[in-house]
Amino acid sequence: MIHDPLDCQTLVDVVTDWMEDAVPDQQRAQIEQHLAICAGCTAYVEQLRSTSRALRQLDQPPGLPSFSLPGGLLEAFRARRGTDGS
Amino acid sequence: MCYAPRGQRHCNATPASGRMVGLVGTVSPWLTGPDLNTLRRAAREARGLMDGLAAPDAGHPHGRRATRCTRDARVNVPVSANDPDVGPTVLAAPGGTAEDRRMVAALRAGDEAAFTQLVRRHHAALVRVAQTYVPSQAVAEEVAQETWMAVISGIDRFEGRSSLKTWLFRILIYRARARGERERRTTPWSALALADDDGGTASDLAGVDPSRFRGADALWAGHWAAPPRRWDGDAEARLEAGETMNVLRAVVDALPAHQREVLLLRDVYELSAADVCEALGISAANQRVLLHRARGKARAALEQYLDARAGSEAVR
Repeated sequence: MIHDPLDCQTLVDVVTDWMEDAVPDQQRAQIEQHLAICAGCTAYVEQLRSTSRALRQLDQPPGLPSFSLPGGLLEAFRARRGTDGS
Repeated sequence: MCYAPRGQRHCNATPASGRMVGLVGTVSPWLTGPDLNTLRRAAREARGLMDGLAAPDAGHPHGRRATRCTRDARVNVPVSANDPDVGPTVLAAPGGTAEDRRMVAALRAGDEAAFTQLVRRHHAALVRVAQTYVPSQAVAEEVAQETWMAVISGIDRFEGRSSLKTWLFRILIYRARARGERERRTTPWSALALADDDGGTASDLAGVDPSRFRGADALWAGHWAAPPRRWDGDAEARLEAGETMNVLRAVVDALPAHQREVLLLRDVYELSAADVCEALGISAANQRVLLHRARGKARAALEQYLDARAGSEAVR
């Protein structure tokens, strides 16, 4: 029988520390050993990564050519950074 | 901001916006942890930001530049506690990525197209993050505009020790917090911080119900009783759909404020962990706790949504 030093609930508790590379070496080894044999936790980690990727898509800058700067900003930029402003 | 010598009380004039800022030298009550070093660092950063954000003002009562304030005069980013670089540089040479260096050079040269591109790229994100601190979209827009004004006047002093994007968010967060404090004096951040969830296990707070694990008396205690499914190709494809984005927007909006700001900065706007810690003035451990809960809840919402969709398709 394979020795598994970690249970799934513990993995879920520490998963972010692990993903952020902030766990001690011994714990990292335990986590990786557990993931190698646990389909549920592997799916959990993959879901977190997919979630993170999906969240990235919320950052949709307005790509429309009609985007105009908020009022006064370009004038302020011109006044400050233009040929006689800088 | 004024360049009053360290140790003197700074005045409250902000040349970029003409507004009053009332937080000079105070420690952000946002910090809930008792870590003294973190508090000290936050206080230093607050001072560094106040000193660095706005351009010297010729008509300022403290004069253009105080001699004892060389550090203040040169920084435009918060002064890190471990920062070994304390030289009296006046005009900063931009470091950072090649793209940042090009952008900074263009801005300094007065390139309007570059400025428009920068605003177009980041304005919506700045407004979104500002909304975490201030009570309305209109005020968030104002704070974002003030941030751009600070960028216009402060770009000469950008040193590229952080990315340009991180610098933008730092300026924004500093201003948004100050504005938020003024807008709701009856609800300081320390009180809002208490509204963050506490109690429960770490997994519970990260959106995994304890009932999904086998009980203490069961064989394989603590292991999954109801494990998450692998998201197959269909689910992954659905993640990119507009409806899924609406699910994510809703869950982000429903998060406690501090979890929301960390998730926005880390996952949505892709700042590094170190940059988020610095921008928010929180410890690395604190950042991880907030990210853990926030990302976990977002995962849980997606899991629920995708499982429901898969279920309804199986019925059909």
